[in-house]
Amino acid sequence: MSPETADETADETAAERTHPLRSFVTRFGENRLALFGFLLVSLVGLVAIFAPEIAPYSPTAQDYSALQEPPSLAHPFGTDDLGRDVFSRVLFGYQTVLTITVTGVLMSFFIGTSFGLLAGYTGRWTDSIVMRGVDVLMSFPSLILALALIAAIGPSKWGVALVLGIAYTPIFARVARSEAVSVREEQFIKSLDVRGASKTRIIFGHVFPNSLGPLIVTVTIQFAFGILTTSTLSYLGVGVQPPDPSLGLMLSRGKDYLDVAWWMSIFPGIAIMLPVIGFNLIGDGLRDSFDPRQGGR
Amino acid sequence: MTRLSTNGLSVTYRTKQGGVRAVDRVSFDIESDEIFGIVGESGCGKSTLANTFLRLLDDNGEITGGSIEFEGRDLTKLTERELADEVRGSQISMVFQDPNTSLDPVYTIGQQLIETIRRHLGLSKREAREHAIQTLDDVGIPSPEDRLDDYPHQFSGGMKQRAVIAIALSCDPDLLIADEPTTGLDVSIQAQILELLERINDEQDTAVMLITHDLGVVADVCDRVGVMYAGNMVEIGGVEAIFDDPKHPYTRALLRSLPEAHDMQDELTVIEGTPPDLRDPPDGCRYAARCDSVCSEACETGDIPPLYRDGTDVRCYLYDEAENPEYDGQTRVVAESEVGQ
Repeated sequence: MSPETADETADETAAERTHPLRSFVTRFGENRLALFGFLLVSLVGLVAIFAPEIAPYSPTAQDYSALQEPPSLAHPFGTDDLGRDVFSRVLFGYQTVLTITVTGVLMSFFIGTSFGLLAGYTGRWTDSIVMRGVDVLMSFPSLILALALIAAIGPSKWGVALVLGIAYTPIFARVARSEAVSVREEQFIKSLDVRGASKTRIIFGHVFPNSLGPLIVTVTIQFAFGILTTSTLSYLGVGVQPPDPSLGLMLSRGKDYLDVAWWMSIFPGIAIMLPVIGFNLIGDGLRDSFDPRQGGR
Repeated sequence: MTRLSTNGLSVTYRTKQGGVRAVDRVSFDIESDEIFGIVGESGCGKSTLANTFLRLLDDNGEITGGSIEFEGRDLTKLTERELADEVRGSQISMVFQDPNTSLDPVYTIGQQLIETIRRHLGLSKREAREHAIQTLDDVGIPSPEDRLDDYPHQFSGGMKQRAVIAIALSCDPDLLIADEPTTGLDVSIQAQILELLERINDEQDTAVMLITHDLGVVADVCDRVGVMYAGNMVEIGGVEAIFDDPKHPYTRALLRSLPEAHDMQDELTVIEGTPPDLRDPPDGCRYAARCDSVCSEACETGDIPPLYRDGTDVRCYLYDEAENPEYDGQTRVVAESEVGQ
């Protein structure tokens, strides 16, 4: 090998080793639990997207000749008290709960992060006003807040999404603000000022990407909470309304028949659990990957 | 030709314990073809002075007097918008101490260069990229077209400082402020960065204001130097005059405190005492309490001394015939408005 090619290969491997994305992916991949969480969530996501193709029955089709049948080849998760296929309803339930959660969490992510970054970067009275508003919202437990809001706007699929969006906004605002406060003090932010960069450019072009790590961790954790809250609201009867299939509603209905038809509630219960565990594992894994000092376990 | 001229500039920081006059009636000029050094110990107001030129003081800082004439305009009177659009980055730019934290870690060197170039020069993406490569080449970064797409962490410390300087120079500023640009770099890299600053000053029409506490750096590259003490500019002069025949007792003490390589001293010479508390500065000369040649009552009771011209411009009553009868030199008081001319 000539000296030049040797140099080139050395350079290439150095670049591969140090590329931030690559080392991030490697670190994340080495975390078995996080990888497992990622697979769980991907599986649930795919199942939800392709629910119409996978589901053997329509989620609303009633079959009075097969009421509360135990799990079998024809009905892998059994049937409910109206003869509907539990498996198909779980698949469509995923579709509903994930649509609501993703919409709600992304909405709170955009609104909360914008306010938080603005407050943290600007400081002074902007900070005080925004964060006092956040404190007020935070002083309600998010479920109570969600219940109150639902009562005000009426229960529906998009109503729940909106409620999640409002209830989670302060959480993102806090995380974004604390990140912005520390990034603001970085020398490169000052050197951007020195170069005459505009405030909007500094906040969204530089403070935001430098705060992204903790925000993404928060997004995954909030996905887990969002699924739980959506299901809870349905369980309490103020969330998604029939005939839309909803995991919480199935759980609530199934509990009345727990002694005669356990499959009516056990399967929706496990279905709720899987993505929640998945998102939490991803969140923990991401936190470790973003902050190598905490890792190594 | 004078590029920048400050006149009686004062800056005060509001604190809970009262106002701190970090810069007090400072006047000096920077010529268009020179490297002007500012030396002084920590907390003497060097960095505040630099931040004031760009009007980027911390929230509690305020210009409480004086003017900064630059390109026919008074920088203290410009609006925030005018400063951002027409001065910062385009006419005056600045390089900071630590190159490791001066670059945004999430963007490539090229993206950061191009961002600034497009902001001020209004070039297309392709032109800006060409310009960026040219600028990196100018500051001595090898194979700039490849390094353009590297992230800051792929650069070494010295390379990063070159990149930072490249960004500062990308819009062809008239004045480059370098705030301790070599602190934290190892000695051989220091020398390269200083050489780069000298070359920029020679080849481009860029005046440089170099802030440092390293007298060696000053002797190396500066044409003229201002010595600051406790918010005052106590002496201004050509580098040779300052090093060969310093007039102010503080400058002399500073030079005495330099360790010399050829005679091995057991102990370093230090200046006894500490700088005064600027929340409540003493009357008279700020240095009087530590001065070994107090000559007159005015040193401790009067106002801060006026500037006397005798080889250098010096703020010290030693050079006043009325206050110091032993003085028999030729001095005259320099009006604030003709300082440095």
